[in-house]
Amino acid sequence: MAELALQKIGKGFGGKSVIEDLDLHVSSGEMVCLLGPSGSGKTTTLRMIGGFILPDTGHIFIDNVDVSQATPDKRPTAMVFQQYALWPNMTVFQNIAFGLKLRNLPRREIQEKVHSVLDLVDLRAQAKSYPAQLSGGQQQRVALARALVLKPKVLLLDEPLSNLDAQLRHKVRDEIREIQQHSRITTVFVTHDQDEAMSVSDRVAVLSAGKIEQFDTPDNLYAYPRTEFVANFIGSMNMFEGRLVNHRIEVNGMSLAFPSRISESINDVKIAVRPEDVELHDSSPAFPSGAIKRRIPRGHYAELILETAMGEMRAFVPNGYSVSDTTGFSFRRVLVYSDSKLLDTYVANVDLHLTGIGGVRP
Amino acid sequence: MMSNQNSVQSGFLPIPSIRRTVSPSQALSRSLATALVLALLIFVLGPLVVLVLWAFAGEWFYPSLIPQKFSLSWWSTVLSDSHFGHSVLLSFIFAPVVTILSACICLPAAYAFSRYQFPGRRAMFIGIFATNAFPKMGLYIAIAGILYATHLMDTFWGVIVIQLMNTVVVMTWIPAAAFSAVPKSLEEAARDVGAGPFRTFWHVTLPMARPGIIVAMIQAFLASFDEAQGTFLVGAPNYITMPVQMYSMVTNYPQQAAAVYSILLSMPSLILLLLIRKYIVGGYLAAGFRMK
Repeated sequence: MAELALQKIGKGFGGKSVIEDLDLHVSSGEMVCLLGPSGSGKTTTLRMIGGFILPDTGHIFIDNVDVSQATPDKRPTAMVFQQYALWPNMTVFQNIAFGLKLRNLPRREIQEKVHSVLDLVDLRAQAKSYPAQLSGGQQQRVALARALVLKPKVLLLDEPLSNLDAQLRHKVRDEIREIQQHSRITTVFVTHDQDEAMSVSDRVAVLSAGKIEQFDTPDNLYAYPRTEFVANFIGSMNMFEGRLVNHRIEVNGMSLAFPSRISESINDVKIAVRPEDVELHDSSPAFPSGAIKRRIPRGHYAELILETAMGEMRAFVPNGYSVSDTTGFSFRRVLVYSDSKLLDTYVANVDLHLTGIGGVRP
Repeated sequence: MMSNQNSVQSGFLPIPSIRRTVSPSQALSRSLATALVLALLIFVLGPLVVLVLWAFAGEWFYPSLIPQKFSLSWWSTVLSDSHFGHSVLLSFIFAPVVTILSACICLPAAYAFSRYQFPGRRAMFIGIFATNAFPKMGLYIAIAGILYATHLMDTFWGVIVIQLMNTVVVMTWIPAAAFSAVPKSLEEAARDVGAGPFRTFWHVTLPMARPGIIVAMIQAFLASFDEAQGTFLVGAPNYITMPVQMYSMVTNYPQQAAAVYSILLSMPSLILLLLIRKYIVGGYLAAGFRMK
């Protein structure tokens, strides 16, 4: 149980800034995920917490102790590496016991601790095996056990699931979350897989170009993406460029009306609609219409690609919903971005009314 | 191959006539290859066979193909001679001392080359090869000048210095490649669980690089053990190792004695090379020359 705080962290490599003024506060026992595309600085940030890279500026506190310039062996952190980094010349037992031996613990105590952590990850039978004799999933659990046995204040996971196949990934993901919940260990997890991030984290920090775009719970991240980047990065999103004039948003001659919350005119805004918020209707003059270009089966729902006057649009619809070639549509919920920031959100029937001149283009 | 070229060049000829020329040419190239392999075998093994024959020959005069008389007398002569005994002793002192010193000097350098970026890294790494790039004798004479000035000529440490020269390339390049082959994350993982830089090196890096280091040490041992030119220049007249002794053997003794002696000189090399065979097959030698 420990608190982790990053304060105005900055890091550059060869004169090129990778992380700038990054602040992050992880509460005790919380599991936080650093999510972002490659090159966003998420791994650099994790490695700075672990001490493998020292920050150029700023401070890192673990339980209010400044560890910014400490080497990894002097930090109460433990890392599970992406490639596991198990020592091939040592058995599973020796791998896990190595850190305890360095601390000069008595032999009996080392044995007890190693065996109890092996039970935790269900690998007691493999204690005498060498890493090369284990499957990927087992190696992954040894790496986790090696980190946990030292009772670190902060557990760091660097894309720990990226080397596992899809089925195993779900299983190990749930195991990691269960162990984390059980031990209430403060955990920072790096991934580029949003599904992974959303499903195990208490909070997710979305990084882009060395900056945190949004640090929020998975639910909020999905419902209220505060920047255009997050809106595009998390889940699927329809984005349309438009103009804000007289309390209306105009997109390609189609207009969205809403109550006057924003009075000024803004020349370029973007409106974002989740595919599940696109509602389909029978063709009627009451709704703008679109042509169905493609239907992609997704299992328990279907994805439609519509050609509309606003541009191409994705819609998620229930199975068994019969669709004709042309269909009317409306939006249940709309997000408006200006200057890449979330300006406002609108919900259908409360404050959103969609009118248009066009349906299908000839 | 041959048939394709023929058919292209003489496209108008009826095909069967071309086909007939194929199998004789293939048979020819096969027998040519066999002949080449045999020639190579004779070239490599021939002198060795002759050497063994000489070592056990009592009398062997032209034009006989094998010795007229076989004898072990030259073995007892060589093995009981005190000069020779002293040379053997010296060789088995110099080679291990040079190997260990070379390891102490070159292994840290090898580690630095493989793990750290520093100005002039590449130039220095290639520069080490300079010790092998020039004719040895020229280099030795320049070094002898320095050894004279520092009163190291005809001394134990003078010989050590000159023999170290020959070990620098293998002792740096091969271990550097071996260190580079140890994933950095394995060292980071050791640091992460609380090991300092030294313990990380000792418990993780060194055990993993060990095969490459063993190959380099055996190569260094052999380089020192077989070194004659520099040792003769610096060590004569008091430090006459086995290969230096070979020179006087060839000129001052019958051929049989020289043959016995060269077999003795080859034994350690042969034994060591057999011992490290599996590592050499493993490509550690080649890896040293692929380092960037």
